Amino acid sequence: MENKNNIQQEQEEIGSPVFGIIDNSNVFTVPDGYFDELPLSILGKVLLQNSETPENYFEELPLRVLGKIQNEASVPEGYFETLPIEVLGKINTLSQEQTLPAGYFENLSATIMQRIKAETTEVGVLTEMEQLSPTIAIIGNKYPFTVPANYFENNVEAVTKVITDKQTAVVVKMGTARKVLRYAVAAVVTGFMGLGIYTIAFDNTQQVSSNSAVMAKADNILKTNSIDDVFNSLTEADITDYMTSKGSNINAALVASTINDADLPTAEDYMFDEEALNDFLKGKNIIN
Amino acid sequence: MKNFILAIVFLLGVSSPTFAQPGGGGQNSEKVEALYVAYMTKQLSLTEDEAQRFWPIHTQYDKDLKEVERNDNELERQQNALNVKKKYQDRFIKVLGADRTNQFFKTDAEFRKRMIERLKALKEKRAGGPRRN
Repeated sequence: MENKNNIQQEQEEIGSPVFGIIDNSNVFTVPDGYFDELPLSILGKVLLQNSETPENYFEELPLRVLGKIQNEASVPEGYFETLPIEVLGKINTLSQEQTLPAGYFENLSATIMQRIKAETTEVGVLTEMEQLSPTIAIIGNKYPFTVPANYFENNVEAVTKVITDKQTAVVVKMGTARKVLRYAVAAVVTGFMGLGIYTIAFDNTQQVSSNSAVMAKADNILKTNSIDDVFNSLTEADITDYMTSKGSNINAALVASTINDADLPTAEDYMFDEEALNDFLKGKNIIN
Repeated sequence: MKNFILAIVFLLGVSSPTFAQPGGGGQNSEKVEALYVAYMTKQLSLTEDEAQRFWPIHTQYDKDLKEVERNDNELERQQNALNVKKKYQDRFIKVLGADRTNQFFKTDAEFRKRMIERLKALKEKRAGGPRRN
């Protein structure tokens, strides 16, 4: 209950005197038994209003509405049957109203041109040009380029004449030294080329002659039945040269032919003497 | 002029390989070469007609083999040499037949072996007999 006093006091303090004046009693009053009689009174009011509507008002309402609609939205008989014809008739009437004069399109371009000519005069263009570019405006509307009479007819002749008249090439004389040098270079080149060809040809000849020499010698060996003799007469140089000519690695071939597992240095040999392999090869006369 | 000099340099470059000496060869190898031909002819019993067809193929074969012999990689060298031999096998068979082609490869290896043996013997002889540790 203290709160009630506090709220009133607070309202006065915050400066709402209007609320402050109002007492904390209920300002709204209803007569006694108001709410008890309220339903009856409302019902009475409704009934009072309803009493003004004629009898069976709501039953007849839809029919009445329909009747109204039918009356107001009625169309003449055969309205929709004749509608398209009527619309077309209207359109035709409108088109007739907007018909073009005869030969309108034939004369259109001429008309437009006339209009343009009438509106844009030569003076207007020149005036505009003066404003835009006075330099060009000076030229006026005259064609600035002219050619003499029959210029193009005689063109070819004239051009040919000009060309032939001016066709004097600059002659540069070569010094004697330069001339000699050129010949010398040519001679050297020819010489090299000739030498190249000769070498190739000679090489082939040599090969052929070498082959025939080999064949002749072989024939001789066979005839004299001296294969073993020739074999025994071979020198180190003979064999070395031959093997080299075949692309063989002689040392490798010698090692390969010599290898005999029993002869090879053992693991112990390598441990005691790192020169073991060299000594072995020397022993085999493969290396010196 | 500049082009001219360039042309000369180019021509020199082109022709210079022609001055290179063909590898190997000479009197010494010719002697062994003749011995080889004689040896083969005897071992394979080559007729004159066969010899005429055989040796040109052999010359080509020799050339190809020489190319692969230059390889320092031993396994590759062996493989390539074998490839060359296989490549020429069919051509040799056409002249010699299968048996004698087989015989040719054997005889070829034998000749080479004999050369190596001979070279070894000569080296030993020059060094005053085999040295032993």
